[in-house]
Amino acid sequence: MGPIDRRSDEELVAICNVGDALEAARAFEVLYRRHRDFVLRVARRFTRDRDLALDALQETFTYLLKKFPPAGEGLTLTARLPTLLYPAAKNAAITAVRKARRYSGAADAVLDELPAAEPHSEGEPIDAALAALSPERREVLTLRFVDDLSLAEIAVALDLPLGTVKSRLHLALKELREDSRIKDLFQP
Amino acid sequence: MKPTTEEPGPLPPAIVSRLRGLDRSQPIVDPRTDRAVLESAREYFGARPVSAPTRRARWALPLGAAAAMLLAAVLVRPLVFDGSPPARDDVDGSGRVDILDVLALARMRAAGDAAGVTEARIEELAYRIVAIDAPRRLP
Repeated sequence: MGPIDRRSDEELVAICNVGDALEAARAFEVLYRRHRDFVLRVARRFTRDRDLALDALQETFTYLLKKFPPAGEGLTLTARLPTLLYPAAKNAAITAVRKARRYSGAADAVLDELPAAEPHSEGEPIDAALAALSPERREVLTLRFVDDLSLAEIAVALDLPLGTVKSRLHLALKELREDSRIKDLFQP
Repeated sequence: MKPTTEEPGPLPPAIVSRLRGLDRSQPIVDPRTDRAVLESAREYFGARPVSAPTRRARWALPLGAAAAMLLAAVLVRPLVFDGSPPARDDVDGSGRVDILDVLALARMRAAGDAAGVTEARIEELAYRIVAIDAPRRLP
């Protein structure tokens, strides 16, 4: 592994837009390695399956690749790259799950939201409290506290008004704070 | 209850930790997928031309020096020879020896037509041309 590439995402995207064959491929590689784990994490949330998550990872970066010439008109980053990659990864993951279910003959359940949280044991109150949250609230909570996206970035990534994001996050925290199983964790 | 418009408060570390655990944030390592994505990118960008930076660099140095001399030359009289100038210095065949001959030498060197054209030769002619002495016959 070579030295860390300190160029910003904006610089790398600019090179992908107009650089020559070698420069653009190298810049894209840096972007891939920098954001690969984030995309894979998102994909796993929605697929719950390693192989489907890897398919979704590949689809997401193919989507990004085609933003650049010759197929695309070029990309201008108006927000951090993860806010663009999140919906692409989510859609790719949902598509991958739908395809897999079609092949397996399983019912095409509603997939546009986070799957239900994993089964938990009675001895894990935090897991139980998190599982009780609605998928929309858990998604916003995860983007904020696991992926470190700002509220504005979450709004862009989910294509929601900022007020809706704030409301969902506020209600998620309120629900956790009032959950008798874990409310003591919020005490100072 | 109306939701607050302020940034929500922090989540207790134990809950953040569990949220990360449920998210299974351990990365998956799969070199085949990495290779497939990066090979796809190389093919995609492969249609673009590959630039030749070394050719640009060879142009830059003598042309840069010549450009600096040109700036100085517009402020001073170019050397004018009595009678016909030495053919060696009148590179562009204009009948005068001036900064344009320096530029012609630089272009010859950059284009690979470098017979007798060295960096020292270019600089020597450039310095003589911008000399602020009275016009004089070259030795």
